[in-house]
Amino acid sequence: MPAIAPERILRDLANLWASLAHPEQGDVSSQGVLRACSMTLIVAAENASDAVCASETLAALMHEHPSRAIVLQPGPPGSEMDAHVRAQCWMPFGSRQQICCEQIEITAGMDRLNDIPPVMYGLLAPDLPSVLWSRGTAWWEAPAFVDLVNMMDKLILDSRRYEGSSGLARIRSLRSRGKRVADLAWASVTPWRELIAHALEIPANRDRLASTCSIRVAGREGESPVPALYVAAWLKRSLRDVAVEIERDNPGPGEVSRVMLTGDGWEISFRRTESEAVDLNAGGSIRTVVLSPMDECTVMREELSITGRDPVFDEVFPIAERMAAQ
Amino acid sequence: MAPASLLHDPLRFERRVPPCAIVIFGANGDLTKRKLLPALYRLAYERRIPPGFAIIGNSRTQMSDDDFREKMRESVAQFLEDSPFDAELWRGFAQSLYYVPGDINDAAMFDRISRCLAEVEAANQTGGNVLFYLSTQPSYYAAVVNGIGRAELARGKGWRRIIIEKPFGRDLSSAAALNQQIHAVFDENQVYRIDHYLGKETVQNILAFRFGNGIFEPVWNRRYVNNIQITAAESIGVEGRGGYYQEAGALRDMIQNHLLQVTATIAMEPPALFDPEAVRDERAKLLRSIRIMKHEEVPQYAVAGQYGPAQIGGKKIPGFREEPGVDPDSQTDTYAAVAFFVDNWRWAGVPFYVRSGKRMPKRVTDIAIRFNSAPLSLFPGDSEDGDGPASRPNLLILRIQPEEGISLRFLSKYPGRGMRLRPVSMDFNYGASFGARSPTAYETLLLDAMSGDATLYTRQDMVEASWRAVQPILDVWAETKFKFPNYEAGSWGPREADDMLARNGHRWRTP
Repeated sequence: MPAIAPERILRDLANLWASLAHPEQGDVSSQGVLRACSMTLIVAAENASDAVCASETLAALMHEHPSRAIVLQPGPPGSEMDAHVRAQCWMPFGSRQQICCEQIEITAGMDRLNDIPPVMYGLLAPDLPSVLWSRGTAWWEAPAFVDLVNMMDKLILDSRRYEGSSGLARIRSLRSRGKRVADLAWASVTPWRELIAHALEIPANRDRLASTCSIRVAGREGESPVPALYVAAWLKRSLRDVAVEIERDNPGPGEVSRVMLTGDGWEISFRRTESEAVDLNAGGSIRTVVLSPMDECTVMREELSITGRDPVFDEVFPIAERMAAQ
Repeated sequence: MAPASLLHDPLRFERRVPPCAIVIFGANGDLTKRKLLPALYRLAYERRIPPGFAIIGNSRTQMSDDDFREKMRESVAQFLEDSPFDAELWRGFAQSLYYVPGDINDAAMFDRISRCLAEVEAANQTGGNVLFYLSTQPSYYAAVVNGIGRAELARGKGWRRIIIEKPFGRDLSSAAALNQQIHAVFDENQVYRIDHYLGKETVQNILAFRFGNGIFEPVWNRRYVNNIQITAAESIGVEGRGGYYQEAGALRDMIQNHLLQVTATIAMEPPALFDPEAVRDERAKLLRSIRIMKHEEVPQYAVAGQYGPAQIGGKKIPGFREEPGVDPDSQTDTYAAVAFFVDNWRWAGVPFYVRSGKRMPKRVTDIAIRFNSAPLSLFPGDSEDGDGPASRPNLLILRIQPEEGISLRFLSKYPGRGMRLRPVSMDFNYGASFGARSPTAYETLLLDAMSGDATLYTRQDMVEASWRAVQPILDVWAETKFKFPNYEAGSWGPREADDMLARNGHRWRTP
């Protein structure tokens, strides 16, 4: 039997909503709160400080992806399982009614992680999608992790948190079980891909594309190689017969530093100059483009907005994995 | 597939809007200040319009670029909805605002616009893409279109499109004439007739609701639906626009355009694919299926109303005829209710009751689909003409404003002894499932026009079909001397509208 029962947590949630619905006496301006929920989002945090970071991201995410958030935090071995509930609220601009989401925080000793899945079964918001956001490796060896994954519709992890490209092997293993797995490293390169796709849409550049001889993608030394691998694999998907090289640049801003497409007598390059600025050079004409910053909240927001299959990632991932193995 | 198209990722990439210039005629008017500029500013705030974007305003008022920028800054700060005003962002945005003063009947003014466009094209790399926006009084539409044509601005290096605000004519013949004038300069695929109701998120959601779910479509027909009621009520009066409104009236101002487009969205057949022409073909087909009334049938199927004075909440509310700028003997309809019938296999015999009015008890727009009652009354006190549960049939309500959402009313057992049934409501509220701010209709529609997506714009055949549907009513009402006012401000309209439904055994619901 789990040390805490889902019924108790659900009762605490009911009490929480009741208290929010009856604000302090004398607060005549209040119009109550709107309870918002479009999914269950379970966060498997690495530790206590990571859980705090995750909560900050959840607060920002709820504006677009309101959820029943459940933050799982591993505690010291031997510690009892404990649960608290709270609400994350915000007031939309110009509105007099707060929108609130519920958050459940569950702590369990590392040796008690296996007690968590049975509690989770009772806490999933009925009939809504469920997503597991795994923020590190702490959970991966626990059998409980497999149980958690099995009850989810989608799993989100970030291969940039793992050594080299080892995260890709973990993603493959989960994908091979038929799970829908997303990688935040893939979402992090969306602005790069968008910039390249738009630049290559311009008729003069588009005509050159068919005669591309080589592609070089450079990542930064000291950063995860996966984002550069994904950009390279994505280009390879479109230009199958073209040789793609992955290089490493000196440390600097960003994970991807450079992308160059070369053909017979022409070159199109994208070179990061500052943290979000990229110089696009097509035939000597240079313009600077500012990329949207892709912080954790932005990449999560992008991933959560994709509820079904992601056909482009499904095709790019095996190519990236093959490239990583070379 | 070409390599470049393989690079597309529609799931993750923002829809691409090409750089362009927007030329707004009537740039000193209310629509520009209240809706267009706030929408464009908000799109810039969200980085949804490209950097090479420019707005060229035109009106008769003499102003410099800087005067225009300052005027628009005040308007955006005042009328921006659901968003804070960012002075820093405005400074950048304002740099793309230009102003060309002049009369639209003056050919030289169009030459000046042409020169301004050439400068903007060189400076902003717009590629010659131009979107014209007619935000003037409707009587100037033809003059503007002719001016554009004479200055050879309707064709150019990039694409050229024109957005035209409603009303598209005053009746069927003037709409056809206007279309002819527009087509002398623009091809139909360049013309974007805006009906901002179609840009509302909740109206767009009707398509998602109907064609994205499997459970509703099987009951979406004459076998299960008893009648459909579409209500667009305003609690306010004419708010200083009495002069304009006197020429329009509720039938022209709301029903002929907004509410018939909503009707078409509710009743159309599923399109073969979600593509602008396929969706518009189905809407047009539905509008063409609306039964055209004979003149002698009009009194039976259409009711005109005009509000009179009333005391509401201790405040004296003037009647329409007492409003400034309104003829004391005005015959204008501030309320109109029409029973439309759609002559196709899906809807034959199902009345679509459409009503719109000013000075109603509250501001509300919704669509109520009333289903047939259960075929057999099992429970005590249950009969369709009584006060029992059968007189409370299942209702599906699509709420467009102000509380966007969907409700389903059904019967449930009242707790306790006996089998007493009570209607209950199962509610979906947009805000509760999607915390995100919904774009305004103008944000959606402007972005669509810049991207070349005409799905939410009306086409010539749709406009003419909807005029054809109301033309007999306009003809008969023009010849009728009404005993106005016939409803009190703050009520749900004239008794004749209740009688119209009662003749079919129906009654208006209270939104």
